[in-house]
Amino acid sequence: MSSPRGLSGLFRSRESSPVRFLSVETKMFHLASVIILSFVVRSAGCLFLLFLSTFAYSFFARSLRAHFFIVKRMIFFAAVSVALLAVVIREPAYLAGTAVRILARVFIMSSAGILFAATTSPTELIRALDTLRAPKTLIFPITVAVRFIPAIVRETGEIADSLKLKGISVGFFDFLRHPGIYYRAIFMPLVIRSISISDELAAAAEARCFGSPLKRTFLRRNKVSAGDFIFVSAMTLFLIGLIILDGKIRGVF
Amino acid sequence: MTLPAVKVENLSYRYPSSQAPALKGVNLEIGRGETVLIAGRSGCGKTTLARCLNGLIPHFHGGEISGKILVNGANPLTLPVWKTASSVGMIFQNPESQIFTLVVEDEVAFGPENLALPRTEISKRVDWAIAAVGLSRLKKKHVFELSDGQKQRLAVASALSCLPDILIFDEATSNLDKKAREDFLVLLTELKRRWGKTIILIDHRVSGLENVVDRVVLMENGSIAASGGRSILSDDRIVRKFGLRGCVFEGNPVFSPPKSAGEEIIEARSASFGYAGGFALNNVNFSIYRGESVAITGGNGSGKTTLLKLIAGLLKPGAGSIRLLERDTRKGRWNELSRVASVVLQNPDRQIFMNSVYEEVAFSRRIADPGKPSEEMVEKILFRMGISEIKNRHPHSLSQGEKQRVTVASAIAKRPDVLLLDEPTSGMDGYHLGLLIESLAKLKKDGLTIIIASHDAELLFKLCGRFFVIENGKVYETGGSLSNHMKFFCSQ
Repeated sequence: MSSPRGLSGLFRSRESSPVRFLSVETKMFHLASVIILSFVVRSAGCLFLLFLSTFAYSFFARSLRAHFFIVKRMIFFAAVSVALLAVVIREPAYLAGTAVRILARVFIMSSAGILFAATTSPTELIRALDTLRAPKTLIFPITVAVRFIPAIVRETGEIADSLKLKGISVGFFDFLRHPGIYYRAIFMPLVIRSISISDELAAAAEARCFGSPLKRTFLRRNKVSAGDFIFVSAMTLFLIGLIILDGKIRGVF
Repeated sequence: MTLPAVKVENLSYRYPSSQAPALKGVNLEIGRGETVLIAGRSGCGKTTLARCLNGLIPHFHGGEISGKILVNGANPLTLPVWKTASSVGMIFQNPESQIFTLVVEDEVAFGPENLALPRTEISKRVDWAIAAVGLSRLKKKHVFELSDGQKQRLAVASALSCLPDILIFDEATSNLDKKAREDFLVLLTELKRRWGKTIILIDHRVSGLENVVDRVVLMENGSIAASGGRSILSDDRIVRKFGLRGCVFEGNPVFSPPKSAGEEIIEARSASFGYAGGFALNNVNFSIYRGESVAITGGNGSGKTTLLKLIAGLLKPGAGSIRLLERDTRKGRWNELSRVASVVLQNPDRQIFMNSVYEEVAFSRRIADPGKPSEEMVEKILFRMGISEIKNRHPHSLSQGEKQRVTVASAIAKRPDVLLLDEPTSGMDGYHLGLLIESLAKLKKDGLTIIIASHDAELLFKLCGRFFVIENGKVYETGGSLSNHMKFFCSQ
């Protein structure tokens, strides 16, 4: 059986980091606000500040390794999308602006997403969603998706390894030279494995009564601490400041 | 009269994406407290039958089903899955795909929490289930720090905490080494003797089960073809016919001395490698010569895959060196190293991506020698590997055993100097194992250097002449005797 070391590394980040003091509700607030703001904010400077904030959070969460692993790949596919856009958009200045925004948003969203997945267990998430009175039809797919992320990270790494072992270099310029081969060589196995893994996870969850319509109870409850209030307050101030700054740069305020 | 634990009458089923039925007129009765093995070749319908018993079929997988099933007196075809799941626990093949949380006790609490039990009751059940599988001292442990054997025990505890009367194990030991498998079989006996559970084992590996099961049910093409007492597991004719593995194989390896007069293909000198998590291979020294067949064995997580990746150059030694046909793997380029050493990884699904078997093999050929005509050579390789008849099929439509032979064919299409195989028989039945051994034996006869990382005794003993064992981060050559290392081998 292949080694689970990468997967455990991804999860272990929370064990020894200050982020373990934050509740899942706080982490959800961070995730949602960063994603929404990455669309609201339009100036490159403010997008950069937003990126720095997720980077700092990632540093404190001690999940930079997992962070870079995913973000590198997300940026790679964002860059490919920009390259495809270049075929359609002929105006260089507009293309450059669009490309910067696409790259920055992909970076910010994937950073925030991987941070959440790397520092939150599915059980904690279920507890938080239950506290927020989310419907079961929403809780099930979200929980499986969060559990799915580390599994798919590992699969992507294994598929990239198998390509290297076939003698196919996995790099940005290699992709530009043979896009068809790379899309097929990476996406075909990834899609097949994704279907198989998500199917296994969902079946395993069903086999442990996850589909029960009863109001779920918990062995433990998520706790909200003073650290949560401090983090949420600081984050709120930062986000408001960012919106104002973005408005000033764009001449809205 | 006591109701049987399971009663199946004339059960037939067809998956939504398939024309052919997966089950045809199955009739089966299992008494309370019985331990029954349902065995047969891959694809014979045993997992499908198990999924009908716990209601995943038809509620989760869909499809057309007819016939009657009674499990604990209730009908899983009409009950929702969560209700059936509280009386039928299922343990799947891959323990990691069943883990939802990060801490052992949270994982075991997952089922009772879904059943909306009071907190005190959940706590009681968690403590009981963890103790029943012998994991009490690991209650607060991070789940990804457990060994494979411990993870599978955790999966059992997680099922037990819902207090099911019936436990179904679907190839639950296929990823375990010999020691972990033996411990697991002791646990099964305990579950039956102490807690009176009805146990249904789905497997084609029958090694050690002759002392555990009460009855054996053999399936073929979606039907029950034979059944009988545990003694039928020792019947060579039955074992061969149904592609079972384990009880009959009693081979011994034929050792060959190193061909030191020949060309040295791989040379490891004081090579060391460590992961951030603490695992390390230390001071590895060996030489492998052209034409040799070498086994690398050891327990789960001992570093077999790591050593193969070091040889192939995918991982670089932190100290010392590994040379692959005179090329230092720390400095060699991917395309150069991969031409010398072809690697077949454990899971073929990660390695195949073309539209047909022929294209898959031809693609590897093109990567190795772009521009050279390859049709004749590809046809020859397909014939050699016994996959000519399926050359136009989509690789992902094949069975796991066929896919594995396609990946071997792709690997040798590059005409490498050495072929490295990582656990190539994991989950493979006896029939497909026979075909793989036949194909690899032909390559061995052609003079190809083959290195296999595995703990499958049958595969290694039939093909390999030199044996390396990895234990506690050290690599030893056994030098003519395996008696001290037999604990690592099992017929999968």
